[in-house]
Amino acid sequence: MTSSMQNIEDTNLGMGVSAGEDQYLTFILAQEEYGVDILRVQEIKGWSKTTPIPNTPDYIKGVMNLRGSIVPIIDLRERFGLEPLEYGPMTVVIVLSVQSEDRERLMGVVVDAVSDVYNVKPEDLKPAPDLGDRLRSEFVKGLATVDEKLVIVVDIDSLLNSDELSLMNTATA
Amino acid sequence: MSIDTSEFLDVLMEDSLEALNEMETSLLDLDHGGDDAELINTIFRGAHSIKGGSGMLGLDEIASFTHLMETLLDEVREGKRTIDMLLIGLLLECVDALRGMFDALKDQTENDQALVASLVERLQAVLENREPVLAAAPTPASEPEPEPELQELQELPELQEVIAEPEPIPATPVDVIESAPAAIIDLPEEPVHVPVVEPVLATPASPSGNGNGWAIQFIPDHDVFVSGQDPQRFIQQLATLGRIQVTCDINVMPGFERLNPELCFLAWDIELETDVDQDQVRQIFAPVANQCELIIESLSDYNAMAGADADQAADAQGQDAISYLKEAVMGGPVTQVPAEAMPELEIPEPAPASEPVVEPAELFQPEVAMAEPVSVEAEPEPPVMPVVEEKPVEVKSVEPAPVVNEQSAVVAEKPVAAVAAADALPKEAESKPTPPPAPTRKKETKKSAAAKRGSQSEAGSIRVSTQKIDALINMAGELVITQAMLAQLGEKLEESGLQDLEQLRDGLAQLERNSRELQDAVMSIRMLPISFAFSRFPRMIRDLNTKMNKKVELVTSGEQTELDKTVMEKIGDPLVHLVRNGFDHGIEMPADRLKAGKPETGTIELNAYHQGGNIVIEVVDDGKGLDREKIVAKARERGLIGEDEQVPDDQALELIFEPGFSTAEQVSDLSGRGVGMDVVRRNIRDLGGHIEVASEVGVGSTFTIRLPLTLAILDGQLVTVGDETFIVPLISIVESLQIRPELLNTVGGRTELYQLRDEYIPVVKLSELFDIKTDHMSEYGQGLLVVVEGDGKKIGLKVDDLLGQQQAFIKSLETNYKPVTGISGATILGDGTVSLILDAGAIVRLSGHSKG
Repeated sequence: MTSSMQNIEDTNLGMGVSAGEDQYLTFILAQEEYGVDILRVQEIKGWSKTTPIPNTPDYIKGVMNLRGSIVPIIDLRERFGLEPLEYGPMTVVIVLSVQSEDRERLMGVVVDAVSDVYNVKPEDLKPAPDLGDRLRSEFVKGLATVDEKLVIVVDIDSLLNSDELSLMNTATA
Repeated sequence: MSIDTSEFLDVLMEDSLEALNEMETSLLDLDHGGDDAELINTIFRGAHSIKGGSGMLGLDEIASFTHLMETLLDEVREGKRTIDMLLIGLLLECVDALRGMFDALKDQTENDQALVASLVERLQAVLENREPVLAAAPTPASEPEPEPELQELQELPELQEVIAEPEPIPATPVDVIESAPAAIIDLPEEPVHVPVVEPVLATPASPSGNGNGWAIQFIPDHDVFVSGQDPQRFIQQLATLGRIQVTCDINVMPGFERLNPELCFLAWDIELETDVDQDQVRQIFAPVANQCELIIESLSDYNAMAGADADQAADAQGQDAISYLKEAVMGGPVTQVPAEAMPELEIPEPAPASEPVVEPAELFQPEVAMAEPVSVEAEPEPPVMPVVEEKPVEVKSVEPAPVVNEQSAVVAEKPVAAVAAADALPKEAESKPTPPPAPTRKKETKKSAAAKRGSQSEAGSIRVSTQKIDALINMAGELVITQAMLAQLGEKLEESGLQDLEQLRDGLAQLERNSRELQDAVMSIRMLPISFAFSRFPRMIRDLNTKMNKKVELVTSGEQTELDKTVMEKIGDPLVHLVRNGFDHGIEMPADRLKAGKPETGTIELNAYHQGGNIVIEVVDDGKGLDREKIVAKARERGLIGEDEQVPDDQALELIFEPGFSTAEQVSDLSGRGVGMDVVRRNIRDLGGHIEVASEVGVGSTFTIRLPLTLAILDGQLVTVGDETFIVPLISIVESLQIRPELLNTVGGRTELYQLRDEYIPVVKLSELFDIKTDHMSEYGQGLLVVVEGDGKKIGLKVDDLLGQQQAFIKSLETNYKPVTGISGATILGDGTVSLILDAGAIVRLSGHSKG
């Protein structure tokens, strides 16, 4: 159901922008630019205090009230093993819709800043080489070059269903 | 482009399952001797709508299957078939098979073809064996049968007049009988009248001498219609001359396939009691003088002549009519004869006199069905039943050709009359008056069924998708939150000494009331009567009774007690388990019950009622009860309790809830596999409820389940630990107290016990458990202890502070995250932040104290 709706949206967008291109919202994480499929972005909001969930890794900052929904917040810097930043008024949370098994989950990711929206042709998306430990290549959908900048396109379904975030892996004390 | 039918499929599925449930309930009611007509209608409607829906979506298997059911039910509905235990059983199996088909459809799995095929076969067998079945049936079913028969006729509009007519008849024959007893013997064939002519009989006849009148044989030519003549008109005219008896002769009527509707194959024998002379009678037939054979004799002469042969003659006629009918049925709907034309068909030979006399021997033999009335009929007062029973048989054999329904029904009326005729007048007089009441009754039941249907749709429920309801519930929750926020603001304003605070507070009070009401109303949408959960049990008990040869009656009460849909869905399985257990282990075999001085039939009660914000469900059986000693022994054997451990009586029964416990000496396929009661208890605990058992040996057992009405809201106590605020469900809090350090004891270096009056309870530091930084880490003196009970054990939760109590709107962490051990959910506080709700039972387990 949802996927068919998205297909329709895809088509519309494709015709509205230019055929055969996908749009990506990019954000900055330690001076690097990352992209996510813009159709997965629910909203972008400022940081507000979260309620920690007991016995979870540090990168899970806790849960936040998003108009009545309880949404877990993940710090991408910490998830990628980067040095955490002090949160300030400029800290941004991107709320994403994640496909987890047969349902959708809303999750927020904390990033340094939101950057831009790019159109990328699927054929311009190059497979990522082995990126080593820090960023597992399974989380990367591909690399794109936009205006001579490198954009790392993130596979959010794979990223936000991994490890502690996996539905299968229940937190234990 | 193919149309996506999956959406419709879901709707169909939902509708169909509902219809199936309804059908099942009705079938079970029928089984218990409920009101037939309405119940059968309900079942029929269910089958019909499933057939329609599935046919539309191309689910041919289901459609054709339900079609068979529908056909069968239609026959029952129209009274052509009585519903008995066997049929109910078969239909119940069909309902199950349909459920299976829908399930298979839903899961996209293979359906059990063999089962369906065998059911189809059985349905067809029942349908096709219509005649044997019914021929055999009349004896036991003799009473209901004639009635439905007439009801069925009544339903054909064409016939209403025909059937309604009989009313006047009694008057006539009765008169005749009274005035002319001698005539009785002579008259047997007279009542063989054509129904259509019957209205004529109503015409007041001039009283005339008994023997005075004319016997008229009126045999129109085959082509009489061509000249525009209507034989019926002459008969009506005759009727104005005096008392008239008309017999239709259909001897020359060809079979349906050869029947030409434009030709007249009927002839009439008319007996007219009148004073007018023969010429006047001839006058009436003048217009067709050249197109008919008209024999007019003096009635007294005619009687003398015909009297002797009358009986057989009438028989032969009836016989002919029946064989004709047979033919008609075989011929099926090939020829469409206008119903009005029917009575006028056929040219009669003076049948009574010639043919029948010659043929009876040959006629009697092949027509077994007729044999009885024929033999009986020589008696002056033949038994009523055989004749009446004759009717259903005939009408039924006509049934399969619906297209000819109208005329066949007309035809069907003829043999009835013919056969009745064979039984002489008195019979006619007493059997005929019965029809009128029957149609009236039928009308009434129909009406009441319709009325019921109407009221059902009015009082009926709307199906709302759970998603929509959840959205509404969310909104209502938000409203409550807004109100909480405003209330906080109000307090602040008050402190700052602003004016008009009174007003603000009034407004807030109102807002609170409104929002609560809204919330209640919205919540109630999710509430369903518990009958939804109870409804499966009558069937279950019925099946179990059959299977286990026990006699158990199910009694339910409080079916209207409402509880949340989610709770309902989750309580179903535990209830099934308890009822099965009660059936299997509780209720004794009938013989044992009698021996124990109990009624042979055991009782399992299901009661539901509200009690202080909870719903209480009781499963009560009057079986042999739980044997404490046996339980304790078993628990020992299984190692659930120590060898020498003594168990107080009230705790002994609780042992049955322990995992791996089963006292059944013999494991049946129902229960006794030891995976029962612990799962039941766990399920109920997961719902935030608990289960208790009380039992007396030889008297029975009572399981009492207490559940929260809803899973969406709970009353909670706000507690703080460090910077975090948690909610502890009030239902699990035993008490809260200030920690007195001198009552704290350390055991084994780590575990701390608090002396609470005369017992020691383990202390769980939430800050440690949840790894929360707090200033009070080790300073017990400043902390508070919230004593909670979970999993049957008490523990003390050490918290920093107690805040207020609040109704918490439970939000699931699972929606966007996943279950977290020790946390049952989250809620949103007045300031918009999220607070986690503690799961007392889980914390008890988490802290490793669950084993005491």
